[in-house]
Amino acid sequence: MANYYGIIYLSYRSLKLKIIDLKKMTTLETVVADIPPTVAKNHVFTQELDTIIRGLHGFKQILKENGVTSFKMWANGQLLEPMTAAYLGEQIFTQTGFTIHWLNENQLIYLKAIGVLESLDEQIISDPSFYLLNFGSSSITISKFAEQTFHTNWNFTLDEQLNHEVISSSTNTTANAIEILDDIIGSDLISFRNQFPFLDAGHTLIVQDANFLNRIFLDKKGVKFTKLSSKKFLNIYEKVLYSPNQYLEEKYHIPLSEQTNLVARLILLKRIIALTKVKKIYLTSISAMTGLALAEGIQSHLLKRNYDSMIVSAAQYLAARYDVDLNHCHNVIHNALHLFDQTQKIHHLGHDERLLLELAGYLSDIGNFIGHTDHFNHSAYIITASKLLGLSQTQIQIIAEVARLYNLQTSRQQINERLAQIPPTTGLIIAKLVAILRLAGALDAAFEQKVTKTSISLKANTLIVTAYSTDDLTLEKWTFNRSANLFTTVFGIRPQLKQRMIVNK
Amino acid sequence: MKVKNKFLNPDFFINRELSWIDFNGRVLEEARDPENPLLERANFLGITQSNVDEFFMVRVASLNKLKTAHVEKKDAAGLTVAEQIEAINQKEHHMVARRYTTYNRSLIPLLAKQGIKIVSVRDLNDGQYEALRRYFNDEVYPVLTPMADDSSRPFPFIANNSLNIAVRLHLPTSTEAKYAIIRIPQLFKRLIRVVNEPNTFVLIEDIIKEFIPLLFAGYTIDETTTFRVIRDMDLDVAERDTSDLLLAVQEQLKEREHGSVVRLEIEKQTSSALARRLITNLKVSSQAIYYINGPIDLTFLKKLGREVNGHADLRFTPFTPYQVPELDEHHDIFAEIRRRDFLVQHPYDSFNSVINFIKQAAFDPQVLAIKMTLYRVSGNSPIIKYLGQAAQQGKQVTVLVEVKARFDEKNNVRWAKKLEEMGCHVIYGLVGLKTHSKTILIIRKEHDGIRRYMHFGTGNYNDVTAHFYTDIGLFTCNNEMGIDSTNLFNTLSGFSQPPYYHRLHLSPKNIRKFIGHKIDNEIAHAQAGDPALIRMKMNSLSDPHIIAKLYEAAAAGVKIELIVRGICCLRNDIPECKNNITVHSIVGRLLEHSRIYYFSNGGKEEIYFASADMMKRNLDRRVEILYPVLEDDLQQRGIAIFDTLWRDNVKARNLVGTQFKRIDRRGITSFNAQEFFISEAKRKQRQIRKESKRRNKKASHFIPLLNDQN
Repeated sequence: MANYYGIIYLSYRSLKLKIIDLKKMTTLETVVADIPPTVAKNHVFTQELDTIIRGLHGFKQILKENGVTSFKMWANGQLLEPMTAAYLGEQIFTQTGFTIHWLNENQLIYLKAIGVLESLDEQIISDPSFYLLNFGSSSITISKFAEQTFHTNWNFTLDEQLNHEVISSSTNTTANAIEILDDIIGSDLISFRNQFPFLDAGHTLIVQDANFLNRIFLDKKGVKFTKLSSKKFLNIYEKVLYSPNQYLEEKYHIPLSEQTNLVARLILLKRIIALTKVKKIYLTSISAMTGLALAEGIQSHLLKRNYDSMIVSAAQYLAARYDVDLNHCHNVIHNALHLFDQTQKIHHLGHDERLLLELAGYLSDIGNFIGHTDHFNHSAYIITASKLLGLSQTQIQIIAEVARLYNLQTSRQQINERLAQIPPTTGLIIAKLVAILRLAGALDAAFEQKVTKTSISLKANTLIVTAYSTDDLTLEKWTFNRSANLFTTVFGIRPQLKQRMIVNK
Repeated sequence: MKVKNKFLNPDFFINRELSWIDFNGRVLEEARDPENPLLERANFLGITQSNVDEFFMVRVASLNKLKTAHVEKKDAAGLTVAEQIEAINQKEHHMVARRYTTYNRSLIPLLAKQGIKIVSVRDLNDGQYEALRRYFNDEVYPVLTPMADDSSRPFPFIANNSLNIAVRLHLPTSTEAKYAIIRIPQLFKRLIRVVNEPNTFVLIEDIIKEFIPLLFAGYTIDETTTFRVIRDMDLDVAERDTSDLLLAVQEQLKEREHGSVVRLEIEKQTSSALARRLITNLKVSSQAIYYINGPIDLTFLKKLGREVNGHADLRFTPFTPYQVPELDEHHDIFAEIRRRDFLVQHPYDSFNSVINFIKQAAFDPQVLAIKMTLYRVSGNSPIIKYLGQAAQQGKQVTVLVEVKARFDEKNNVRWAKKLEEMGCHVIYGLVGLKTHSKTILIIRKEHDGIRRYMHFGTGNYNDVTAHFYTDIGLFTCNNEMGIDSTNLFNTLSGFSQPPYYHRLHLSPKNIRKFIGHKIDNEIAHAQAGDPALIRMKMNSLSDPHIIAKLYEAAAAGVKIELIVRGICCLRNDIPECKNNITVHSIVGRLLEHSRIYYFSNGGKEEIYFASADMMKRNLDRRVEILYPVLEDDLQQRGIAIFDTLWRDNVKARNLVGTQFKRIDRRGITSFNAQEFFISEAKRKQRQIRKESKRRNKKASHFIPLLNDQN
C-alpha cells in the first residue's frame, strides 16, 4: 500500500507541492506555482497573498485528485517577525484550511542538508568528505562533512544595504565598486578563514539554492547533481561582474534590484572556492522539500534514518569550541539518557525531548568559558545566540533554560519564577529535563567519571538508582540527595542512590 | 529552428489561399466522379459550397481587412494582399462555373433518372400546385416580411449567409420602378417535398417567387431574383486564427468596417438595374460579385441524402466499425491497458472504445480523477453525460472546454455550463491560446500506488464526426507519459511550466523545435550516405519554415513522402530538391484527419502522432500534443497504416509541381486505402463472430449473462 503524503512548501520565490511516497521516497507529482518577487523584504508573502491562496486552492484540488489525505504545509519564516507570521498563518488557514508550520533558519539548513545526504548514494559524488554551501535567503551557510557525517557549519550574512551603498556611491568616485565589494566580502571572511576547520585541498563543494547558477547550468532532465566546471563558473563570473546592467537584465532576466546581491554572492562563492581549495564543484537541485519529506517519513516511522547525529555533532563541536570537558559530558549524557529511557512511564516525554536532553548535556557548561560566576546564565545566552542546526526556536529555548536552571545553586523558587515567564507546556518540559539532568550530573560530581553503569528501578514512590562502581561515592551521594529535591517536586517520586560494588569487571 | 534562407525564396511557395481553393477543387472532383454513389456526389457538391462559404467568411474577410488597413506585407509566395484577393476571386469564378455545370449538367439529370427530382413550380400538376399554394398561404406567407427600399426607408441590413429575394415592381399607374427585399427565413427547409411523388422537391425560393404577388397587393411584379451575401464573420480578431499581422492592425480598423460584405451571389439572369441597385447598397467590389447559373447556395445538397427515401444503392454502403474486444464494455479496460498499449484508427475501429474508457472511469470506485480537453462537443454527447455522472460519484472531474472553437462558441458554452452544474471543474480556455490538444487523463488508485491511464488523439472527442473523420488514438498507462500528462494539465490549470517533458512534445514552440531537430537528424544521415526517409501526413502544410526545412532536407538527399489533404504550400518541382519530395492528397469518402510524423532515423524507426498540422497557428498559437508510439507492434501498425495510405491510387492525387493530378491507373491494380481499411474492419468483425460462435459451441452448459459486478 502506497503511503502518499503531500508536502507543501512556501518559500519566497515559489509555492511547491510534492506528492511523495514516504516509504520509497519516490515523487508521484510535482507542482510549482511561481510567486513574483517582492521588493520589500519585510513585506514578503503579505503582498502576494492572493497568488498564494490561489495556488493553495489548486493544490487542494490536486491532492483530492490523487486521493492523498495526509499532507502538511511549511513555510520559510526567516524574514518574518513572529506576530506577522502568526497573522499570515491565520489568514491562510481561514481561506484555505491549511495550517502553516513556520521554519526558522536552523531548521531549513538542517532539512536541506539531510536532503543532500540522502541523495548522495545514488550520485556521482564519490568523495565522502565535502563542503555544502547553501545560499539561503537571509544568510549563507557552509557546512563541512567528513566521511559523510556532519562536522561543523558556519554562517555569513551579506549586508545587502552596505553592498548596495557601495555600488551606488561608487558612481561618483574613481574607485571600482566591484573591487571594494570584493574587499568587504574578503574581510567578512577573515574569521571564517581563521577559525573554520578546513578539509585538505582537493575535495568537493556542493552548492545549494544558487538560483541564478541553477537556472543556467542545472541539468534540465531532473538529475540531482550537475557538475559545474571551473571554466564555466569563471566565465559566468566575469560576465555578471563586468557586464552592463541592461545586458544582465535582458539576457539573464535579473532585475536591477537584485543585481548587487547576485554580484556579492558570486564574489563570496569565488572566494570560498579559493579558501577551501576544492577540486570539483556541483550544483544541486535538492531543496528543502526533500528534507521535509525525509523528516515526515522518519516521524511516521516509515523510514529508518538517523539524522539526529548531525545535530548532536553540531552541539559537540560547539561544546569543544568552548573548552568543555567532553569526558564529563559523555558520562553525564550516558547516564542521563539511560535514566530518561528507564523512566519513560513517569515523564512521558518523547524522542524530540530525548534529543534536547542530550544536547543540553553537551551545552550546559559552555558558559564557563566566559567566567565561572554566573556561568549558567552565560550558557543560556550563548545557546540562544548560536544557530543550532535543525532546532526550532522553542527547542533552543528549552535547551537554554535547562542550561540555566541545571545549576544546583538555583533554588526552587528561582526556578518557578523563571518558568513562570514561559508557556506552561514548555516550562514543564524544561523542569522535567532539568530534574533528570541534575540526577545524572550528580553522578559525576567529581568530574572523574566514576559511575559508568547504572540500573534504574521504580518501586512505589521511590526511584532507586543503583550505581555500579568500586570508587568512593560520598560526594556523588551527597550531591545526588540535593539534586533529588527537584525530581521529587516535579514527579512526586523520591530518587535514591545506592551503590553496588562491581564483582566481575 | 535554423533555416537556410535560400529556401525561403517566394518562388518556392504556393499561396495558401489559392492552394485551399485547389483543395476544394479536389472535393468537387469527388462530386464529379462517376465511381461515387450519386447521392454522395450531391453531398460532396454541397460540401464544396459550405467550404467556400466559410473560406470567404474568414480568410477572404481577413484579407479585405488587411487591404483596408493598407498593409503592404507580402505572403510567403510573394503576393500582396490585393494580388491575393484578385487571384482568389478569379480562381473562384472558375470554380463556381464548374460547380454549377456539375449541378446542372451531371447531377440533376442523373438524379432525375433515378426518380429524384428537383423541379420548378411550373412542372407540377394541378394537385401538387394546389398543395404548394396551401403550404405557402398557411405556413410561409405569415412569416415573411417584405421590406421596401425607397427614399424614406434605408436599405435593409442583409444578414450574413441569408438567402434573400430582391423584387423590382411598379404601381400600375406609374412607371417609377420600386424595389423591395424579402428575406427567406432560415427556419424553412430549402427543399420542399412535392405530394404524391416519392422524391420530388421544389426549392423554397421558387415557391416564394411564384406567390410573391400576394405580398405586394396592388403592384405589378417586374422581376424577382434570389441573392445571398457573405460578410466578414471574423469579428473577434484577437482570438481567431488570423495572421499575426492582422492582430497588429486591429486597432486601426474602424467599427463600421466590421461585417463588410465579402461576396455577393446573384442569379445570372438578373437585370442590370436590379443588380446595380444591390451592388451599390451592399457596397461590394466588382470582383466579389458572382453571377450564378442555378440555385444559389448549394449547401442544401448536404441535406438531400436525408430527405430522399430509399435508394440505398445511391449511397455508400454503411459499415459497422470494428470494436476492439479488449476495449469494449465486457472487459476491464484498465486491466487491458496495463497489459499493453492500444492503437485505434477511427472510424474503422469503433469510437465506442473511447466512450467506454470514460464510462468505465466514471463508475470505477478506484478512479480518483478524470481530466480531459474538449474542443468540439457533439450535441447529445455521451461523453458529457458520463463526465457528469463521474462528478456526481464524487470523482474529481476537470474539463478544459475550448469555447473559442470557431462557429461552435454557443454550443460549447452551453455544455460547459451543464458540466459545471453536474459538479465538474470547468476551465473555459486559456487567454491568448487555443487548446487544440485532444487528451484524456484518468488517475486511478491501485494496490501498488497511483496509476495514470491516458488517451491521446489526433481528432476531437466528438462521436458524430468520429464516424466520418479518420483519426488515430493511443491508449496507454506508460509512466513517463503519465507524468507528462499530469504536468500538462497542471500547466493548463494555471501553474507554471514544468522544466521538461519526458515523452510528449507540446506546442506552442516545442513541436516546431522537435520537428526541426528531427529533420536535421535525417539530413545528417543523408549527408553521411545512409538512407534517410521522412513521411508525414497532415491536413495542411503551410508553415514556411517547416517547408523550407523540408526543401533543405530534400536537397541533402533525404527522401520525403507527404500526404496532405488540404492546403499544400510546398511545390515539388524545385531543381535543388532533386525530385526527392512526393506529395499525395487523399480526398475520399471519409475526411482524412489524422496526423502522422515518421522518421527513419538511421534504421531505428520512429513514428509520432499529433493533434497539430504544420501550420503557423498550430505550431505557435495553439496548445498541441505530439505523442510517440513506443510499443513495437503498435509502431509497426502505424507504419503499415501510412504504407496503406501511400499505396492508394484511386482517391489519392499526386502533386506535379504546383498541381495535384489523379494517378494514372492504366495497367495497375486499383487500390482505395479507405475501402481497404473498411473491408479490414469487416473481416476482423467476422473473425470475432466466428470465434465467439466456436467458443459458444464448445460450451456444454448454459452461459448465464451476469451483471459485471457479480
